Amino acid sequence: MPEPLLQVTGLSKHFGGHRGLVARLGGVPAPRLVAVDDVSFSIARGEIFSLVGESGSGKTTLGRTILRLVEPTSGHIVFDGTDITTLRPAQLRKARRQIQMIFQDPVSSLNPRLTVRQMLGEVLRVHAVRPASQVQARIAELLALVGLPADSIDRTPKHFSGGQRQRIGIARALAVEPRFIVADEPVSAVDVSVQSQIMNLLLDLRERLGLTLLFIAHDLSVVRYLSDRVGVMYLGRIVEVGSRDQLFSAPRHPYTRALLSAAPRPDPNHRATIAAITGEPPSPLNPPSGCHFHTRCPLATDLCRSVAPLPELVAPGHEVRCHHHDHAAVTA
Amino acid sequence: MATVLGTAAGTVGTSAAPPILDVRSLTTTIPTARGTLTVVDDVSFAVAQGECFGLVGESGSGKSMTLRSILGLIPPPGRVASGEVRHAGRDLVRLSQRELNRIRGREIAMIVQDAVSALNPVYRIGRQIGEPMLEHRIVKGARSARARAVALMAKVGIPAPEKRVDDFPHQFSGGMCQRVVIATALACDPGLLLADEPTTALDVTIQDQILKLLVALQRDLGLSLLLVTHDMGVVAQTCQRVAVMYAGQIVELVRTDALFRQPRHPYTAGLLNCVPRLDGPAVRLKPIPGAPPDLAAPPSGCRFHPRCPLATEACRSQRPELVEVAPGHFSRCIRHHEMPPDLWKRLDA
Ligand SMILES: Nc1ncnc2c1ncn2[C@@H]1O[C@H](COP(=O)(O)OP(=O)(O)OP(=O)(O)O)[C@@H](O)[C@H]1O
Ligand SMILES: Nc1ncnc2c1ncn2[C@@H]1O[C@H](COP(=O)(O)OP(=O)(O)OP(=O)(O)O)[C@@H](O)[C@H]1O
Ligand SMILES: [Mg+2]
Ligand SMILES: [Mg+2]
Repeated sequence: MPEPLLQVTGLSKHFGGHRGLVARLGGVPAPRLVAVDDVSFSIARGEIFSLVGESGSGKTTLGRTILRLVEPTSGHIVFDGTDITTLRPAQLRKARRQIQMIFQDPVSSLNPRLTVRQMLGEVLRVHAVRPASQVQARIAELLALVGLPADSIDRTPKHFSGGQRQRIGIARALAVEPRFIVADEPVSAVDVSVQSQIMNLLLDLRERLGLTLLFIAHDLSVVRYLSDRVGVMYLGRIVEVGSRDQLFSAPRHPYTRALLSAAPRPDPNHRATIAAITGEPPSPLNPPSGCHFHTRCPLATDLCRSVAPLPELVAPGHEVRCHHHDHAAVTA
Repeated sequence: MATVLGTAAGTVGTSAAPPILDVRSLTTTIPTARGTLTVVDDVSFAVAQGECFGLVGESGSGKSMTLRSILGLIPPPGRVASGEVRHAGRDLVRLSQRELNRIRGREIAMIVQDAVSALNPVYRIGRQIGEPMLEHRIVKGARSARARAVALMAKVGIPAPEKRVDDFPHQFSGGMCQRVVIATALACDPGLLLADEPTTALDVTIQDQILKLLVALQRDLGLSLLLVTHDMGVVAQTCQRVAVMYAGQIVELVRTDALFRQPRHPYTAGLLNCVPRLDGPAVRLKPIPGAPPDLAAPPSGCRFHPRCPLATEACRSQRPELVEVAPGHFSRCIRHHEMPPDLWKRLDA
């Protein structure tokens, strides 16, 4: 197997807890929250890897850790052979040209006072990606790449629709010619008729520029159209990871199956085949013992309540954290 | 099931029994610095007794403004410019705010997307749910209001209601807050519930629970439901009939199964064609080109014509009406009879 472009091993991120400054000063520590819990996965060159999970499962935190916009508590992130968790600021700046991020909210992630020309010009200058003489040509090239009309160059964000703003965000991320993009819910805030435009754009860019993508979403059907491989997160842990077909055609974790069953289908004749999941997601400040999912799981036993399952390989490239994944397969 | 017949005297999609809500040619305008926006444009539909009727459309298509117009909740200087909203023999558009106050929460209740902000943070849950009962005098005194609140909490699936009735909203999750909001809406036994994206802010497993709750309430209490959503999946799974909105107008109205089987407006067809699905081949989607129009400068003629593969000169110049193209099936497209089934599939993305 070729060496992956990104290799994440044992990555954790804790917020709060008593290691902080507050505690040392004798104040009351914020309660500890494990946002990302011992996560390992890898992404091959040119692949689109998606993370799905409900609100608060740790997707954004994980994505931001890869850019070191959030410092990991422990674990390693190796990008193209370099461990970026140990990079010093100067080296990190260089690495950040390779890794860019696209955000969910195209409105708040763009400076409302800058025109597209100013915004992209600044990125190109700061990173000195192109000589000054070529900056204008590169801006025009970027607009064409993301499908924005050439005359949008001197407009500010408020003169664009939501979908067009998302294209500007993508152009900004592409400006520095990254090899890897973390796209954090880039289609969640846009309308359906525009969503598929952005999805197709991401697929095209992967093809044309050889990009590798970490795509974050909570909508499984979107993930299905975009991904080569998928990881499902629940309360900070990746509970199942596999190829798109494995995840959607032969899901083995009861949570993955519950997610698939709960998604409303645009088909009046569709009837759910498995019982709806009951209960609420537990508080991340006080996650259940053992397997985090046991409080809502139809298969839970005493073992699940006491022992956290480790990732088990159930097929090549298909890993599941469930004590009862065999049973889950039978009842699927 | 409510059978859906044709138009009668301007009523769109009425059933044999008189509808619980009959909206006729409703038009709402908002004056702005950029000109007067027609945010609800000649909207007509009727909700049958006991039916769940869906209003679906993309952001800015006028779904929320339609609901607000029905209940007289358009913030000035916006106003209902024309049309009727018939309910229980009255035209709500002509009622005073005082008269509407007696109907809102009593005969027609509304639930909104953001449950957390819909609740008063300093009121205990029992008081939130009890307040409309006291206001509309359907119970005598705080004690019976509280008892009924506990019963309603149980009905909407809040565990241990007698323990939680004295909690504050911040002690509830988003999904539980939405249950509280639903319990509050049910407090006075309304016949009609207007629900504006009641599950959009929720996680998919919780959305599933809340939608099932609404369907069960509709069935068990004989409630009629007007459900606003932008999600075709939610429509397919909860609504008997549906109206599709685009740029302030209803462009198609029909029974849900027929909408998905044979859409008769190019916009609906395009929308269904670009919805990502969990089954079938995961091939590249065919988007609708462009974006919904700016209401300050709406396109001439048919508002969808700049994005429509069927558009002709007539579409650019004539304003299409919502017409019955098959029994109970309404479309605002002059070329509805020429729509090939693979209209969007033939286009290159
Ligand atoms: N800076 C922070 N300080 C404390 N807790 C945080 C911080 N950032 C995130 N969290 C917590 O970490 C957990 C994971 O949050 P995260 O935003 O990564 O989830 P997510 O999966 O992206 O959710 P969503 O789908 O809502 O975007 C949540 O419980 C969140 O409240
Ligand atoms: N106070 C206001 N002033 C001016 N225009 C407004 C105002 N409120 C809403 N609008 C406009 O009215 C139109 C309809 O808005 P409405 O809120 O009904 O849309 P919607 O279909 O509910 O969309 P969403 O799915 O985003 O909730 C939009 O174009 C919106 O920009
Ligand atoms: Mg997030
Ligand atoms: Mg709305």
